[in-house]
Amino acid sequence: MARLLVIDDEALVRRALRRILEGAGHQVTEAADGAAGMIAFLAAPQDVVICDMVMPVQDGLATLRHMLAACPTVKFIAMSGGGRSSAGSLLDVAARVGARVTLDKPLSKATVLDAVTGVLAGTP
Amino acid sequence: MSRDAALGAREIAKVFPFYFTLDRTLRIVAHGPSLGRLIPHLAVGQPFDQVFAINRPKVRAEFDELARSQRALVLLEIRAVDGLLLKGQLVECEPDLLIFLGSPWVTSIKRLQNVGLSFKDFAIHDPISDYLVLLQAQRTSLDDASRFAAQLEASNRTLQTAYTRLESEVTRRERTESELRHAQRLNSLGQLASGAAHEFNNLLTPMLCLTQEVRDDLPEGPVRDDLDAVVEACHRAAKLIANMLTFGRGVEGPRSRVELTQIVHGAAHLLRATIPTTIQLTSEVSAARGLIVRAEPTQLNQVLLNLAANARHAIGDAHGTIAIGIEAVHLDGGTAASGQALAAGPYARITFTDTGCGIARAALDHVFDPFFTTKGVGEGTGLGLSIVHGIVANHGGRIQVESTVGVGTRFTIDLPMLESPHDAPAETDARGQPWPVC
Repeated sequence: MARLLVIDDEALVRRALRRILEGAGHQVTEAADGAAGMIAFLAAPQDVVICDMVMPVQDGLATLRHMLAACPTVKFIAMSGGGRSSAGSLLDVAARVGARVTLDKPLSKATVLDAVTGVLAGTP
Repeated sequence: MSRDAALGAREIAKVFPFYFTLDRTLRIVAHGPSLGRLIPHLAVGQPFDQVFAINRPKVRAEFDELARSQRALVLLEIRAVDGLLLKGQLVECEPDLLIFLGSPWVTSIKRLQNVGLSFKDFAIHDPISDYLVLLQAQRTSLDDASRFAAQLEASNRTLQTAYTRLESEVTRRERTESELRHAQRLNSLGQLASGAAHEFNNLLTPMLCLTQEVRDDLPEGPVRDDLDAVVEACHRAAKLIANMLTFGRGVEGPRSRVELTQIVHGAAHLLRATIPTTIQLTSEVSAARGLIVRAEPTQLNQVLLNLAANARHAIGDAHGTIAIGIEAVHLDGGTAASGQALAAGPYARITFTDTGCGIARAALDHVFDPFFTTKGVGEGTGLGLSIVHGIVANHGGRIQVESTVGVGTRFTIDLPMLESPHDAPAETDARGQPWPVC
């Protein structure tokens, strides 16, 4: 069992991730944007952060940088639906900045669980 | 010294025996012998208007007015001789000195006799000098004519050149404008596609994840099979969106130095194995060995395989040919697939020609539009060529299509060249990796 923070502005995505992650025995906290995610991250220790890139208030890259500043060992999984503002390269940037794993949406159950298992085991 | 001595009075008198000169006060300074014979009591120092009345031009008898009409024909009535006119010109031969060059206006020989003049009073005409004068005049006018003709011809040529340049400039501008309009339309379609793709990917995530989760909770059975079908549909939708993103330039992979002939060899190898034997595949690339572009090899592969899929469909069950060529070209400019201006310089050109059914004029403008297809339902997504366009745009290149119904279609792709065979030999890291035809 691990504590996971899911940050995504799309409620349906958060709900789907909660369902499969809780199904795998994890404890899930949700946040609807980067700023809310940051508050949740600082309020309680998290084993893994799964974070969208294109979000209002504070986007995924800024969130990643802030979290790395607060906790350099954060296990950060970046995800993106691509498209807008060449988001394909947003994931590349996230990987260079320090995301352990990057995931292209749409996510499937297997890719999410594999990614979480991977970063928990320390094998990105 | 008499003022007219400087002119050579004797010479002037010989050629213009009726001459006279006037000073600023319009007094007669000198005159020719014949004029003296014609006008009794004519004396040096006599005022001009005592002797003459000006018939033409219509000016007052003032020095400056007469001096201003030097180019005009001058007719002077001789007051002492009724009805006889002097015809000639008044020329300012020195400052403040006018000379009249002319002679009586002869209308009949009898009239001359009446005033006591005969031919000897007129200038002597030597036949040889007259002939020389005539010749000179003729030569001058011939020279003038041929010079004018040459000038006319030269300006005609200049005009012709300018017209040709103008015409090609207008054509070029029209083509650029239409290319630009086309690129802008595709660009906005691309933005639309990538925006939509982002939203769909977000929406597909809960559909896929939740369906898989529920399915995994269920025992074997028909409901589980149904949910498998939903998952399968989600995967197919995801692939469609990935293709849309390629068109919308949302996906960029690693670029490397690519030797084009290797890409074409790789693609041709794969195509030979997959296209029916009724279609002949030729690739004429040997002359282009060593052309290097900066590209994503898998995407270039996809370009060739997508074009091949279309060509194969265009040829159908008939016998036909697909020809791939590469050459180095120099472009002076134009419009890139992205809508940006194409820089002048060296480009690697890929031509892809098929002998298929061709594309109708009306459809030709839309071949790169996403979801535009002439294939039947279920035969194609209408994304193949829009992906090709997106990839070419992504690589800073240009793609053009020409087609004749019943003859075939040719796609021409120009990619900015990194190195030509004339540059230093370069090792390449291009691997012609096969890519599934979409």
